[in-house]
Amino acid sequence: MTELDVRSHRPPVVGRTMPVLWPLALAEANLLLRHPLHLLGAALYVFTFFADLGGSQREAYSWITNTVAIVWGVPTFFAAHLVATAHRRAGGDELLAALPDERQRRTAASLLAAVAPFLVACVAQAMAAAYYALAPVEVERFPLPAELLAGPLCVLGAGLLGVMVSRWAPWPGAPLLAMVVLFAFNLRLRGDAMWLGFYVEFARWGPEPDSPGGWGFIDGSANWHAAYLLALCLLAGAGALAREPRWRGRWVGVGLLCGVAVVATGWAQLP
Amino acid sequence: MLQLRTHVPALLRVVRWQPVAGLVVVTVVALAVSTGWRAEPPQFRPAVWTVRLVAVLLALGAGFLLDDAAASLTASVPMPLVHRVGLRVLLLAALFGPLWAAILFVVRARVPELPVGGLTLEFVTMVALALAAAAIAARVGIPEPGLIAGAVVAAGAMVAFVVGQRLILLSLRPQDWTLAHTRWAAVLALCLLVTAVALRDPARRALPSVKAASARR
Amino acid sequence: MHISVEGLTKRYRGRTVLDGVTFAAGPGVTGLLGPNGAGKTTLLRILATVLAPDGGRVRLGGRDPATPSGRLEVRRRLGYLPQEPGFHRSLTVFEFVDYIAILKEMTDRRARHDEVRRVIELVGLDRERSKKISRLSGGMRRRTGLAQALLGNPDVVILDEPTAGLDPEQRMRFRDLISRVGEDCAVLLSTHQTEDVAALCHRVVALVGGRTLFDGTPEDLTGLAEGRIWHSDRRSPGATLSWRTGDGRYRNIGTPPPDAELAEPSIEDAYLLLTGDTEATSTRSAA
Repeated sequence: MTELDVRSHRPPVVGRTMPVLWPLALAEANLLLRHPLHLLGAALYVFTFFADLGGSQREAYSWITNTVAIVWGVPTFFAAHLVATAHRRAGGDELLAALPDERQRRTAASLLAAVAPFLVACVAQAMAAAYYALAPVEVERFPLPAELLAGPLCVLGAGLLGVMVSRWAPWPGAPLLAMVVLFAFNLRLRGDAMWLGFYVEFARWGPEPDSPGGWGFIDGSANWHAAYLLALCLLAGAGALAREPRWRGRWVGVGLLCGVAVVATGWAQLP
Repeated sequence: MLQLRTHVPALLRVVRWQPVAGLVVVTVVALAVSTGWRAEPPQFRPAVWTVRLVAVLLALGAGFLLDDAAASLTASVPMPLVHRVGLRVLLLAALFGPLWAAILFVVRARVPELPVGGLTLEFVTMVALALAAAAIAARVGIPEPGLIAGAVVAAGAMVAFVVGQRLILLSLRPQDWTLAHTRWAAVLALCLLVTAVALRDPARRALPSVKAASARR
Repeated sequence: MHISVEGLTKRYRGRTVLDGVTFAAGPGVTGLLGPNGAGKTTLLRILATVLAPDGGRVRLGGRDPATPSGRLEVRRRLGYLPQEPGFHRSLTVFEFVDYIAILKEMTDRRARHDEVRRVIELVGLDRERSKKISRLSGGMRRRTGLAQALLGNPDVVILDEPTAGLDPEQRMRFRDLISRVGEDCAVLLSTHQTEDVAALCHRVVALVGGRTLFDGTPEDLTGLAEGRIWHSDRRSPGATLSWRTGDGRYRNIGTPPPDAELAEPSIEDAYLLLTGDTEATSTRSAA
């Protein structure tokens, strides 16, 4: 400890409304991007990219349209949950409770932070798409922009859902259970209803065990599917913010609107 | 044997069983819903995928058995780390072994051609992956290794699901089966190796650096 | 900014933890003494707006933390170091203090970083500011906690056992720092270290069994033991406390043995006498 002045001559600027949210969101995004599980997701994405190089045209199309949702989205969900609960798990609730910042603003910052992995996934997806566009790799049909965007939107949704679960069910087994429920739901979807899942295989595959024999693409609208995923993301965000008593009514209202959007876009995407 | 009789009841009191129990319940319900309640016997392909899903569900909970809230206190007890964790793994085996056998028994009764050996290898590998991840997380001082292990198992299962023909792991085609399970065996060996390294006594690794520091002085 | 507490009560599951606590503290360092379970941490948590009291009145700088706006104003002027701060292990010292600075509503990045560097330097952690918290010693973590409490020139600083885990040199430096902080604002320091209280505080509040047993200057507290501390060659069976010192003689608090000599009391003697008397009284009442 030094002989410095204990009182600062120039007290730092204090912002009392929205501006506090941005530096907080940046700090949370920094934590989320550096979280080992998020890095694991990114590494798995790169690994599967190289592992699948040289596969069939169908496999190339399939990889570029839905791998990011699974190998990056799932670890991002857990990473977002762990980052959002980090202070509570470290026993720092008491320290944070004595600060002027509201819990709801911290939740909002965590939700905004989930945009960071989404942006990184978009860049990675764009790079992979550019590779497939420029390299001598045959793709049966180059994916539509909405098909390319579906994966990163799943990463965004995973981050937002991770925050939502951290607010409503902050105990240790909860994110695992949430992931199990999500997967069970996705696995139960068959035929046209498959569009309602977060993981959609746009390519039509042949029956197992000789699935590569399939051809063509499933019917339905990829654009509306992207809108559907975005509506789900917003619903998760509103759900997380509705946890705090302050402005709960407002966020429940926003959630209801998002729910309507989910139903409408979910219906519109079906063939 | 005497030690087991002393340690197991104490371990049962401190082990984090809630997430494991929750996932076991979910597993049983999932299995009952997907295979048990239907009059007609399930087909081969859905039955295999159901058993695989069950394996993932159980493996998700396995890592929680290594959660030790008093890890910093127990680090200096005379019982070595590998024995302390070994006891927890035994406990896990005592729970998961009969459960897995029962699951296979139930499903095989309805689908006789179920590939029991291959599926068991996949299950054991996923549990070993969970334990390896939890052991590493505990080693680096993460207070709740179970959740990290669960996330790693989930991510690992996803990779196995999406990985292409060149590194196929979850095929049902007879021509891929042996190669895929050779890969599962390799992953299992790697997980066991990682677990063994992570469970080495931390003090053993510190000694050479202490010696080196003394030598430099 | 002043701290004013009147008739504060708090109950946990039918057990009274604070029973009509009353005291006031102005600028300077006020020490809060008391045995384990006396209610010190509960009192500090109420003052830090972490916990709501069941009864009584609290004012910090004239503001009532019971109202949302009052609570917000109090939090903006408060520095708080809990007994167990709970650090995010993967953050560096700088990142952690910066994170708390953001939560203290410091939005201008450059000014905030200057402030973070200033408090880190103040607690002597400038060389460790890029180290992860998980790699710091217990004392360094304590200083990291202290650094965040000093962010933004708070008017009230509440410190719960801040010297636990500090080495003697760091404790001396800490005393210097806190005494300088106390020149401009109200510092409430809960501790078991009576030497810290004697060296730092201009006022002492002693809590025993959830009640204010003493409220005055350290000299007044020491004065309570005047004429009740004895040196002797034998242990006094009737003394409240008696122990063998380094020179082989016995120091007795309370009833003297035969041939005892009166000794100079310390604040620790007075504190032991105070808590010992209360214990004896409550034991007698129970009997």
